[in-house]
Amino acid sequence: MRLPQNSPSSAESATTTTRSAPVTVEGLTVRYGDTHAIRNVDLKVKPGEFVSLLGPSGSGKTTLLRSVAGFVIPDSGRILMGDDDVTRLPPRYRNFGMVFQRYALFPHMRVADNVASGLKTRRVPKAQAKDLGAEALALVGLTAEARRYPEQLSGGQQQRVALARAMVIKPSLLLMDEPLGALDLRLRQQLQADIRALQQRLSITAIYVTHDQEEAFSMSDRVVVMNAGRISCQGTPEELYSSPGSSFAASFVGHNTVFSLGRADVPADGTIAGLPGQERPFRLTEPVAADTSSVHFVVGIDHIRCYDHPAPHAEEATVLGRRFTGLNELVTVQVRDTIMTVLAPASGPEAGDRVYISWDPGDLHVIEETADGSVVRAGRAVDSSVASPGNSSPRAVVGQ
Amino acid sequence: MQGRSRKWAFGVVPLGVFFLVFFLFPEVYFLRAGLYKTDTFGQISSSMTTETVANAFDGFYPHALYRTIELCLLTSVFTLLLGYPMAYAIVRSRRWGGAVFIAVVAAMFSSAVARVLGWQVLLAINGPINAVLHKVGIGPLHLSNNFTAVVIGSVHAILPIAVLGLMPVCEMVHRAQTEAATSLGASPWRAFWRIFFPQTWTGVVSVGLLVFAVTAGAFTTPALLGGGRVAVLSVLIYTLASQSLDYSTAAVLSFVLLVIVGLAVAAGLAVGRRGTRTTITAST
Repeated sequence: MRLPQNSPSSAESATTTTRSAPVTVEGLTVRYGDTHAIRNVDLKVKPGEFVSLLGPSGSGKTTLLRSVAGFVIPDSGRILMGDDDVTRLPPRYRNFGMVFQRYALFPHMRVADNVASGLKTRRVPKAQAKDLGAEALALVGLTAEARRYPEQLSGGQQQRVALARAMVIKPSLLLMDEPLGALDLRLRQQLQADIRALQQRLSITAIYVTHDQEEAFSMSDRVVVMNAGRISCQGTPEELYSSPGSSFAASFVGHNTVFSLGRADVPADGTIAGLPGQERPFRLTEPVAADTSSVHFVVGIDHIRCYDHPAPHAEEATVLGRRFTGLNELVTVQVRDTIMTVLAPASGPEAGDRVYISWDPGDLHVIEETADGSVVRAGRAVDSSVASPGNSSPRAVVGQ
Repeated sequence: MQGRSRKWAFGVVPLGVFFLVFFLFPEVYFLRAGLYKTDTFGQISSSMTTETVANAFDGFYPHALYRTIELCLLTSVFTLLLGYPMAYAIVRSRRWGGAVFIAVVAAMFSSAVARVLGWQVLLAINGPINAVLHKVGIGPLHLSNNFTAVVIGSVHAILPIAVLGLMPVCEMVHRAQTEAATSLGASPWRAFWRIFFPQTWTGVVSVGLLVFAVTAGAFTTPALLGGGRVAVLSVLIYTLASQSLDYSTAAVLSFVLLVIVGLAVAAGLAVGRRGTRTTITAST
């Protein structure tokens, strides 16, 4: 067996920094039968970077992760770890650690043997393997549980064992596939912090798959939003929150309201008026790009005002429901045919009540996309100082 | 609570009555004959005697017992050797799983007579198997109407049941576990032997014991493929009861067979329960 170059048989300890590799994915396509699980995906992960793949189920995020692991052989494209092309290299030679959704601990082995199993495979001398294993267990705070069987541990403890088992081999890459999905919220938050701290301490490259945006935002250096087998957009959590790069990301992340117009519905002079709750008209400063087929106007939830009394420029809306998140109270309202989620006014309106909605075009974020959903242009390019209200009320407004 | 706690009786009582009337009573009635002696054809002596039991453990009958156990052991081993990879393929292989499963189930629905006759043709001294062996310079081998034929036929007969029994055993080991092993540097071979197999072996043993029990009681295959030369207990009992009309000896041998099957089933259940208990107690 060819041993990975980064074998832990050197005298390094588990807590010292591992050599972490950059990962490059180029034009990756994976098909299952006739359906594309992922198509033409490019991704670069810097050494030591924590990248989350965020998306709904079926978006291809797990397939992308499993391709990097080598459990899925792509139909085309390349995967590089460092400068090595690993596209067709069997998983066991890739030197990554992986944490699975349902822990995937070996139930017939004690915790210590689970953790040491990767060292045993690499023929690390017994005494050294024992030390490294103990050190890894200490790292996740489970020294006392070394002689127990996985089933004797709680879910959170099991996942920490899995983490220790993945880290003890000094991988140059840590892959995690919704590792906290089966845990309750409190434990999940605790482990999010633990995993992030460990990853930063060892400065290991990490790719993390999740469908939970809060999880992705709280842990990652960079979040990659995936949809329908493609990367929809990516950025730091702050960037994605304040200026999502695609209409999909805008509707998936946070509580943005997205008004989508077909190309034909954008007037020739670029003046838009009459969107639900729009305070005053605005004009697109640049003409719509040639291959754009839809234009999306994104308003963040914190830019939408909601009054319980009529206010200037505010449009009447009906409350459909309310939801308390713990930090704030949200209400879902209907303005004409558009349904929006907004922050509730202090009076706490109930379903069926009237409220009044308004937003300023100055807070808009505009995204132009082609017919297949690729982003042509995203950014703030509106002139909100248009004086005349105009008479160009757009048809077919779709809000999300 | 009273009403609820008695609900089980609706299921258990008819089952108990059925068991009593159609199994236990005839079984005891028949086995009782072993404590008497067959005087002339079909006539059982009026006084109890241990003579039949003593005779049964002399001479030829212990050989039949040995032959039966040999057949059951060989059948279990070969069935597991063939069935385990099939169950593994059904559970794990995207490409071959469906095809293997259909083949296994189809074999189960074929009639026992057709299966036996098929083997008689295949295994005959001038049959296709010997023809192939002849081409490579072996044989001809005596494959039909003997013990070898019975083992082959028994394995074929029980294989579908064994595979269906092994499938849930193989399904228990989640794919992520072998993937985890590979991510830790294990070859597929090592992942199988260190991770997959150890988790399935109790299931394998209990399916093996089930095969053992079913084969011990099987009559058609040894009777037809043995060509009258393979005297396992089931065949002997049939001959004694229907041709020699020696009900007493038949009863004694039936009791011996019942004990063998009973022990195998009990052992199988014990192994199976031990396997589940370790996981259950461990999870509390």
